[in-house]
Amino acid sequence: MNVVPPAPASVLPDSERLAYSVEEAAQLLGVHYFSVYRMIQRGKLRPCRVLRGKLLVPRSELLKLLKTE
Amino acid sequence: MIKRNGQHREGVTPPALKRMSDTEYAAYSEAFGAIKGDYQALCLIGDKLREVEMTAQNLGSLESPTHPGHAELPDMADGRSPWEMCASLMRLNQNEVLLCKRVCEHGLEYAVIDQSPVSGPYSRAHGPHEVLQTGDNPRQVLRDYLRSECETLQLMTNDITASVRLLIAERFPKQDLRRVVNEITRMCKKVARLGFSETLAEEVGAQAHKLRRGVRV
Repeated sequence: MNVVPPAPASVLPDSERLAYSVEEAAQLLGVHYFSVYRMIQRGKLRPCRVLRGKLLVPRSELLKLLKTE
Repeated sequence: MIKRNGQHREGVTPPALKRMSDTEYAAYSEAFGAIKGDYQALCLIGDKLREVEMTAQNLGSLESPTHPGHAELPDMADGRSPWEMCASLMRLNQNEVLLCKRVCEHGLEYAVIDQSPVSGPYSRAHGPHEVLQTGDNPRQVLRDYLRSECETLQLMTNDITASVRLLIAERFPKQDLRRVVNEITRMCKKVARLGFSETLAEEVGAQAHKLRRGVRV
């Protein structure tokens, strides 16, 4: 049986949020948050940095990542 | 050590931060409390990667046939044999990092593969298996994987210390608490350091020494 993946936007609940912490991004992607750091380190996810260098993952990047190729 | 209010400080006072002012003590307690979960995760991941280092040093056990009782992983590329699991390298909640092998035209090929929960949105979009590193030499594959994970640990460490700086700036504005930030940074870097990186540094140092000797001769 083929499982149709949900539309990317449907797994990101809060449409008003522009960016998420690494932990939140991990929860939304359903992976361990070390995997999210790995995706950032390998260039699969492009984070933005807020004050003091804290990493945030833009919503647009998550949507891009969840699009099936 | 006893606080002015009579309570013991041992539980939270880092040894390198003796003679903290009350403000530094308060900032340290609050900042470390906020990142405690991340710090513990950093310790855990560091420990697991150190175990992978040990696995890399005892590769003989991985040359044995496929571990019984484990299914083959479906390959992503068409027309190739499926990956067979050699060993589980580490498990982080529902994610598991595996060392796998398969037969290809030029012999055996090895890969480090991250396996995510099938039901997660990322897995549904990309499949549950992500190849992190490949090569025909399992020792080199593991070394390259560990080198990459060292950088990921460094990124995680930087993010944790950024959280500390952010929290201290918000909660204790206009105060010089660099000693607290530096101490927490030092603690995080210490647990994130792999023996592998030290070995690598030694190798680089040895190579540099050889080069210097070469120039002298």
